Order: sequence, then structure tokens, then C-alpha cells
Amino acid sequence: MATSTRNFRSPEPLAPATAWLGDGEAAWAAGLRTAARARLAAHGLPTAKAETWRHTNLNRLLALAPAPEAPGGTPALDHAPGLLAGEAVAARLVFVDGRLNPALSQLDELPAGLEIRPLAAVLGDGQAPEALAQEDATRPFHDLATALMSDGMVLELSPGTVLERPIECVHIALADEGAKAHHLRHLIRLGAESAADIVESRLTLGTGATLVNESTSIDLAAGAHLSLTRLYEGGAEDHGIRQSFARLDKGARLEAFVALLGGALNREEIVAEVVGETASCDLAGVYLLAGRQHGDVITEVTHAVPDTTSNQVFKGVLDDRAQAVFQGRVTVAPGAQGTDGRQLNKTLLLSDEAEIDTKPELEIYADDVKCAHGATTGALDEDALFYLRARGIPLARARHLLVEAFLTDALEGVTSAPLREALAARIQAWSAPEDAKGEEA
Amino acid sequence: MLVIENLHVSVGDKPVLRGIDLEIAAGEVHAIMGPNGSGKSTLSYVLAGREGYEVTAGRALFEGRDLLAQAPEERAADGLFLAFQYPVELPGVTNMNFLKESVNAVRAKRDEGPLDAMQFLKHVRAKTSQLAITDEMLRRAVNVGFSGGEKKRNEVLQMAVLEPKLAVLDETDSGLDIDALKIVSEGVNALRSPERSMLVITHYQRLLNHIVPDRVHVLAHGRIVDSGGRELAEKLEASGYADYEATEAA
Repeated sequence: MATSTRNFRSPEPLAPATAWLGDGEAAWAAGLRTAARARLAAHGLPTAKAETWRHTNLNRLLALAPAPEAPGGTPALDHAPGLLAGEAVAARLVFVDGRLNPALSQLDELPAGLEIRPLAAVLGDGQAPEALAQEDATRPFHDLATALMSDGMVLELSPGTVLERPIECVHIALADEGAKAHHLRHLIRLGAESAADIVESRLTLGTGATLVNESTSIDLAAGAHLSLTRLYEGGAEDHGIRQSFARLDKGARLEAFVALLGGALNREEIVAEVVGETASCDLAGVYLLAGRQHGDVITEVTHAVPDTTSNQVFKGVLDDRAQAVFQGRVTVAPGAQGTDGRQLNKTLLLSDEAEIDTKPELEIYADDVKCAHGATTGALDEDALFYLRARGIPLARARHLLVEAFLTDALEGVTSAPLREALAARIQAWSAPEDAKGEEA
Repeated sequence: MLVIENLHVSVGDKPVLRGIDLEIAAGEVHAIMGPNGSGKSTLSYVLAGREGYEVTAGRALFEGRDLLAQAPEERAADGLFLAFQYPVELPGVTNMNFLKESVNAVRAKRDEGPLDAMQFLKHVRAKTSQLAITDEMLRRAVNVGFSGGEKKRNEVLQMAVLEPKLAVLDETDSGLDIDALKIVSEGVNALRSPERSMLVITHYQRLLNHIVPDRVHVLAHGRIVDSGGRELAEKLEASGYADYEATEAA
């Protein structure tokens, strides 16, 4: 029987014994798993007392108790519908049920300077990648990912390499029966003055329940530039939990955009440490949720040194009984003069029963900084709706136009035109009225 | 075209219109004048279908159909147009897209196919020059950052593009300087036709020097208290509304 008290929540439902994990791995890999499992057992899963989990209910997920599966046969899947389907890419990685599917992936003929390996292969190496040993006692799902990791992307870009084409990652969960869990860890390391665009999409095929839990470690050396785009599309029983840890050296740039479209529970947590002067960290995204979907956007940006910038813009639209949480914290360390940190969260509520819990926070320990944060929440403007209807536009279409208008600048940070269009199409499909969806099909 | 019979309307518990009778035939331009608070804007909003107004008695027929039973978009599709006193800003919706959505929504309701991009552009371009509306204004978000005059010109552009059967102009002259008033009035006059009726609501007579009405009605305390030809407007300009307000108080 799992023990659960106000202060401790047993990880057992999500961390069953998995004797098959670790087959063929190096001893250090087994050591990482064992240590992570021990930390998890000691700290437990997050309770409602954990600040960033206060509004996020894990009961449904724990009741489903999705479990990892031993590797079976290769699932029959003949294509992977990613965001860049059909476009020329530097590399394409398709993970099916938490494991790289070589047949669907494109990893031969990588551009010079780019190295990509599946984590499953790296775990058999003689030496552990340093980032894999990264610990974070406040994020139990990170330990869960380490303890149960099945695979992941290990990417390294050599100094000075600027990729002309994006790298695409597609994560597909086949949810046919039962409740399955997939845990992955990804390591992204960009050498000095290198640049890459990574475009990730996640989707579930089928109607079963899933948990896909991922931790990503991002290391940007001096002058490196990473553009990271993430799309999550999940069904009513899909749970996606992602934590990313980024470290930005001098002059490095991180531009991350996340689009959360659905999922029973869908959480994007980004921790960025800006440790090099003139580095900049831009985080943006949208969350579009309906039904009883729940989405979390948690950001924590630390400006550790002088003259760095960060900018965050997250916009959401919530319908029906959907619930979202935005918690963003910008910390300016003592001595980090000249920091420019901005944060904005805007949410449109389409129903009286939808809920947003927003909490932008600034913690400033330096005196010469420019920081701003703000949050707005509101319903559709009744005057605007009437104006549109008075011009003959039916109510459903008028609502759709205003939702689109609300989101219109949300994609500004996405610089690639085809990618922006692909995301815009997904957003358009989300907000289109049911009758219009039929017409467009 | 429009027949209003004994129309009573309350806002909250407060009666604002207290028995309006009005009939406008095809091709006629009627003006409704009245002091602030007389119910002018309420009348325009009730005709267009805005929420928050309770019709407690009477009816309004538009080409014989019960106007007040219809949704705002149905009224618009049937050919009713309200030029707003305070045009609404729509951040994120371009003027061009707004016009296109509007035209195609109305066409769809009439079982006409949507105009393609070229046809639509041609249709709009034919109307913009007279109203001194630049392509730049068409690309901007609807009414966002527009001056008072630009907003009113934009209303008339929408009217020109939608080609309504009945246009209700709610204080279209408010906030306009002489030059803007002239442009707007010329735009409206260009739309006068034997098939199109207009109801011009205004506080001041000066608009009626430019848009010359067939009939003038005086609205005070929610009732039409006087009606006449265009000379009634001139009389009002000289005497003000004091007579009508005094009548009510007595």
C-alpha cells in the first residue's frame, strides 16, 4: 500500500520495479538509476505543499499508475507526422513509445560538426556524460526520468558549427491499452559560437492513457544560439511532464517556444541559469486547453552575472473547465547589474468554469536592473463581439476571430516562416468553431 | 422598409424608449434629433440587436420581418447596418480581414459564394478613394490607433462595402471637424439610392446640412415629440431643445 501524507507522496505508483531496465548498460548507468531511485524514495513525488504543484492535481495520474514497458517488437508505424513533415532537415529523430525508431528517423549523413546518438546507446559507453548526473532535489520527476530512462536524444554540436537546417524530433506514444509510461532524458550541448534549431512535436495515437516524462539538459557555450520549438498535442488521457535545465554561457542565446495544445495534464517547466555576461534567454509560448485539460507553464530564470537579458511572453486560451497554471520566477542575483528581465502572461477565459492560476514573480538582489512583469486575465470583449456580429459575422466565427486576434502576436518569436505557419495552422484548428471545422475538412 | 410600432425599451428597470412609432419607406432618409439622454443611441442599439436592452412592448418590422427576434448577425445579413457612434477597436484583426469576413458572412447568409481575393480587393478599392482611406489603413488593426475622423470614415467604408438596405447612422458627426464631416457626408450621400433607406441620428443640425433628410423627428424623453420636413432641423438649431424638454417637465 502506497503511503501518502500531507508531506510525503509515495513514488510507487509511478516507479514500479523494472528489472529489465539496465540490460547491457555500463555500471555507471546502473549507479545513476539506483541513486535517482533512492532520492525519489526519500523525497517522494510532489505534494500540494510544493509551490509549483499547488494547483496541479496528480491524483488521476497516480490512479492510472502508468508503467514503463519492456522493449517489445517494433511498432507498426509508417510515418511520423511532425511539424516539419516533408521539409529538409539536418536530422530527424522519431521516438515511438519512448524509444528511437531508426526506420522512421534520419540520422545518416549528419552535417559536419553535429553528433547525435540515442541515449540507449550512450548508456553502454565507458564513461557517463557529465550532464546526465545532474541532480535536482526539488524536481522529483527529474529523478523519475533518470531512474526509468529508456532512451533520449544526446546531441552535441562542435564549436563554430552553424546548422542551416533544423533538427526535428517527433515523439509518438501509441496508447492502445492500459496505461503506459515513457521516461526520457535528453542532452543538448552546443559548442562556442555554434547554432541550431530544434523542432520537437509530441503526440499520442490511440485512446489509452500515457505518461511521457522527459528531462532535457541544455548547455550553451559562449556565443552559442539555440532555437527550441516544442509542440505538445495530447488527448484526454495523456500526461506530459517535461523539465528542462538550461545553462547559458557568455553571449549565448536561448529562444524557446512551447505550444501546449491539450492533454489531461501537460506541464512544461523550464529552468534557465544565465551565467555568462550578455547572454539572453527568451521563453514564449501558448497554452490552448478545453474540456477538463490541465496545463502548467513553470519558468525559473536566474540572472547570475551582469548585463544579461530575459524575456518571457506566455499567452493562453482556456475553454470549458480547463485549468492552467503559470508560475514564472525571475531572479536577479546580487551583483547582476544591468539585468533586463521581462515577463508577461495573458490568459483569455472562454468559459466561466475555466481557471488560470498565474503568479509572475521577481526576486531582485541587485540595484541597477530593468525588470517588469505582468499578468492579465479576461473574457472575450462583449463590445467587440457585438461589433463583429453587427457586421454579419456569426457568433461562433466572431469568437474564433477574437481568439485568433488574441493569439496573433504569440508566434512573433518563431522566426522560421514554415514553422510559424505550421504552428499557426495547429492553433487555427484548435480555435476554429466546430461547424467551420467541418467546412474546412 | 422599417416600421416601428409603440416600441418600449428598458435598460435595467429604467424605461428609456416609451412608445416610438416610426415608418421609413424605401429610399427615404429620416433624421432623429434630440438632446442627450433622450434615447437616440438606445434606439440604434435596439435596432441592431445589442444585448442589455429589454423590449417591454411594441415591435419593429424590417421588410415585414420581426427584426427584434433576430440575432445581430441575421439583421446585418438581411441588410441592416449600424454605423457606431463609438466604433470598437479590434486589436489583432486587420481592417481588410474584418471587411472580408463581414462581406463573406453576409454573402453566405444570402447563399452567395465568397468573393475571391481579387474580386474582394476590387470591390473594396472602388469604395476607398472617395473616403480618403489608404491601403495602410486597410492593413492596420480595425480602428486601433485611428483618429476620430478615421474611425467614422471606416464606418462609412464598411457601410459602402456591405451595401445595406437600411443604414442607421448613430451620431456619425460626433468628433468630426469640418473637413472630416464633409468626407463622411459625401461618402454617405454617394450611397443614397431609391432602394436604400437611412436613419440619421444626431444631436446637431450641421450634419443635416450635408446629408439632407426627407423627414426630421425630435426625440425627447423616449418619445417622438415632433416630426416635420428638413425645416424642423433648422428651427431646432435656432431654438434648441428647451421647448421639448420643458413640455415634458410640465
